[in-house]
Formats: sequence, structure tokens, C-alpha cells
Amino acid sequence: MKQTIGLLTKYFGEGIEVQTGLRDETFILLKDASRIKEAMELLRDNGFSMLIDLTAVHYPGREKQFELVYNMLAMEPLLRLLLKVPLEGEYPEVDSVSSVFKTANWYEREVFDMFGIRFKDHPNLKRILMWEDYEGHPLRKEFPLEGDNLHCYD
Amino acid sequence: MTDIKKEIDIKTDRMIVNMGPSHPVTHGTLHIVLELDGETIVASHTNIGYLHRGVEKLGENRTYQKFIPFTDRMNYTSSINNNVGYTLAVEKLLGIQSPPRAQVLEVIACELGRIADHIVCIGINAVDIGAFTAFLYIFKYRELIYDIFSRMCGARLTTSYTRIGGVSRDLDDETIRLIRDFLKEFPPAIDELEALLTKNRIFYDRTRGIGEFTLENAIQYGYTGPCLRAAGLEWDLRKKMPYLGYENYEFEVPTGTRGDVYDRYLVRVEEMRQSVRILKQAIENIPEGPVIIEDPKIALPPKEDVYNTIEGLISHMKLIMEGVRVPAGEIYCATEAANGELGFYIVSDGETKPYRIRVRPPCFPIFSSFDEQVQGHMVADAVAILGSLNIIAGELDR
Repeated sequence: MKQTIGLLTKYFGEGIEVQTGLRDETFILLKDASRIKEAMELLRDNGFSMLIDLTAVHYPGREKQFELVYNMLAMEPLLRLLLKVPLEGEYPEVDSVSSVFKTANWYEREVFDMFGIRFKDHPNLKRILMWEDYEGHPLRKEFPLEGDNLHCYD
Repeated sequence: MTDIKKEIDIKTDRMIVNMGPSHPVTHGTLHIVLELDGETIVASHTNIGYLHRGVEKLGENRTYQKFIPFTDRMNYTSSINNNVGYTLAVEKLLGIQSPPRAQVLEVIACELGRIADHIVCIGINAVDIGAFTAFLYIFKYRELIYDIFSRMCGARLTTSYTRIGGVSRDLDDETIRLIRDFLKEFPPAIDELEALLTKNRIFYDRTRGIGEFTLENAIQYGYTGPCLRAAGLEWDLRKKMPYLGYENYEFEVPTGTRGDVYDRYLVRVEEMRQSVRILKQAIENIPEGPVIIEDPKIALPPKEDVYNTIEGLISHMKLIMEGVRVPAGEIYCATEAANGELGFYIVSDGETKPYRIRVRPPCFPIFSSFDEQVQGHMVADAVAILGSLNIIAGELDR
């Protein structure tokens, strides 16, 4: 893991920040969201061959409202690395990594569906869990739990 | 010469075939649109989300304890594995471990759940491609497992067996006897299943070379579990990153070579045998002791204390009304469920409710490769591939 962190610091310099997790996880904060594709390619070529999960968290109070979480797995030896990318704006846009990891295709569609984060150069950026003409993004914090009553049968 | 060839090359229109949303071979509600050229699949488009219930959103508005029943409804063929995976995640967040007896009980529950899941997957996959008999023979044993589950936790499908810091009930002698009987009866049943399917010429022809997937592709798509092992990689979190004391059990991780439907079937059969092996070791070595952690801030105190002491009453009320208070922070905890890696990513802000709870379902990335896998195969092969991937819609859509 030290090797990977060393590599990332060498490559990104001040652009990354290592955060120690609550238990044994390693979190790495990538400050510049436009370099995500570079970072993923670098990680993929250095052992982190699998993108286990891609999700987002909404923090309405912060200046950078959204945080993408790329959950990476290296197989030999087993290492887990969670790459966090803060995003600015109400409907932020970030580069798609579906050309680096094929599995990112559906995960990015899900993040778009649930949070409204758009991905540049995504081959098929459509809603995946909700239906296509649905309005709103359910996992944002301002979205009410009981729904918005727009789609109720009356 | 060329003119004759032109005449033979009759151009046909492509046909669109809808499989689902409600169709006998889609286990759960899925919609697959197949574009056919004759019998060959040229392109396929999958639509999911018919079973989306917003589990992650609901989790943000429930206490940690109250999320356990939601995990039952994700992979409903082995709900007990989801319970274990979730409570392990919360225990990791709290920095506690369940008592030794509870850990062994959880291993027993997990392995029984894994067998039940593989029985469903193999049985249904065989039915889909026409081998009905094997299904009838093997499904009896799923029923026996559910009988054991109903004695362990009072329910067959919606188990909610585990609690934060342990399990809800202890095993009684009658249940242990039932598990022992099951372990005696089940291995011959696997032999019976193999006699019906493994060397069956029709089954072999229908599954060998179908949905072949290379290891690089499987890793690119984020495969885990039996499907990854069938592609040839020995990858099992129980071995690589042991939890619940799995390092103390002897078992092997089966792998395939070609990653096709037949290999996935073989890997699942062998995994059932290995689960029986683990169960045999676990059932003989259940340590004595409590089944849930003795911490009134995390687990409910015993009923005598609640009725007879004021401390017990207060901590009972605090737990029911407020819930467990966890430290602020983020964790990711993964377990090897029957389908693959089941991960829970929890963001906590120090309150009694999670700030964000993310479920990483094993079959979501696996199913995203379906479109690529079926291209060039026949329509009937799409059915075989879908069955072998073991898509559980409740887990896929959450």
C-alpha cells in the first residue's frame, strides 16, 4: 500500500491527500476531479485490477457537495483502496471511466440516476433503476423519503 | 458463380424478441430485448429496476438495527448471508466482535444459506434448459434447510437472524440433530444430482462453451464469486481475507478453466461439497458461551434484567427508542456471499442512523456483462447464460 501511495504522490504531488480511515481502510482524496481518468489508469496498471464499487455521497452543507467513491481492489496481494473525488456544483460533470473499467458503465449510470452527476463520454448515460421520464434524483439529501408525489396514482 | 451466391444470400429482417419483464426464465423481473438474425443473437439490451425499492434511501432513515430486515429482501434465496454481511459491517464500524459461539453459529447459517442458494441456481438453470428431473431431486434439500432456518430464527425466507454483536437465538439440540441429519443425507444427493447432470450428454452440449468468458474480461467487469472462479481465478474472500474465523476451517476453493456455463455449474456443485465440509467441522466444535455481546449500549439486555432492574429497563428503552450510537467515520466491509462479494459501505456521522449506506450487490456488475456475453449465441443459450449468472432481481435493483 505504501508503494501505491508513493506512486500516487509522485504522480499527483499536492493533488492527493491520504486520509486514515476509522478501521483498516485507506482513503485517498483526489482534489482535482478532471484527473480521475488518469488516476484510474495509473491504478489499473499498478495492480488495482478491479473496480469493485463506484458510488457517491451527498453532503449538502459542504462547498463541494458531492463525493464520488471509487472502491478499488488489488488481488495480489489483497489491498483495498477507496479513492474519493469531491465534486462542485448542483449538477456536476466528471469524466467517465467506463473505457478504463467496463464495469463502470452501469455503476456510472446508477450514480447518474440516483444523484444527478453526469459523466462525460459515457456510451449510454441513461437512468438505470428509475424509469426514463422520472424527474429528480432519489438519493440526494433534499429528496423526501416518501417521494415527491409527482408519480402517485390518483 | 458470384450471381448464384448473391441469390442464396437472402437478406432477412432482424427480429426483436422481448424476454420479460415477466417471463418464466427471468428469475425476478428483468427485461431483456434481444435482436435476432434468424436464431442468432445480434444485440441485446437489458432493462433493470423493476424491483427497485430504494433500500439505500430507506436505510438512511432507519436506525442500524432496523435495517436488518431490509437485507433479507435483497438476495432472497440466501437472505441469511446478507444478514451476516450487514451486521459484520456494523460491528466493524463499532470495533467489536461477536462472541465465539455466535461466530460459529453465523458460519453454520452462512454455509447453509450458500447451499440453499446454489441449489436454487443449479436447479433452476437445469429446468430452464430442459432437465426437470434434477430440479425435483435436489429441491427437497432446500426445503430441509428452510426447516432448519425456521427452527433457528422463526422464519424460512425473511430470516433476520443476526443482531449487531451476535445472533438473535441460540441453537437447540433438536436443530443440531436436524443439521447433522441433513449433513448425512445431503452428500449422496449431490452425487445423485451429478449423476443426472454432469455426464449428461444433452446437458453438456447445451452448456459447454456457452457464455465463455475470459479471465481478463471477468476482472474488467468486476466478477466475483462462482462466476469469477469458473473463469479460472482462485479468489474467495473466506480464504483471502478471513472473517468469522474462516481461517480455522479446512476447505478448498474450486476453480474452472473456461468460464462457461458448464464450469459455473461444476464450481457450484463443488462449493456445495466444500460447504458440507465446513459445516461438519463447525457443528462438532460449537464453543459454549453467550450468543450476543453483553453490552447494554449495543445489544438488548436479557428479559429478566428488563423486568427486574431499572438499569436493564432504561438501556432497553434507550436501544429501542434511539438505537445504537456508532462512532463517526466510514468503513467498507465485504463478505463472500453465495453470489460473490457482498459489500456494505457505511458513512456514519456519529448519529444513530447511517448518513449513507451503500450495498454493493454481487450480481449487479455480473449482469452488466450479459449483453456482451450473449452476442453470437442462440436464443436458447441466452436462457442458459442467464440462469448460470444467478441473477437475483431483489439484489440487482435493491
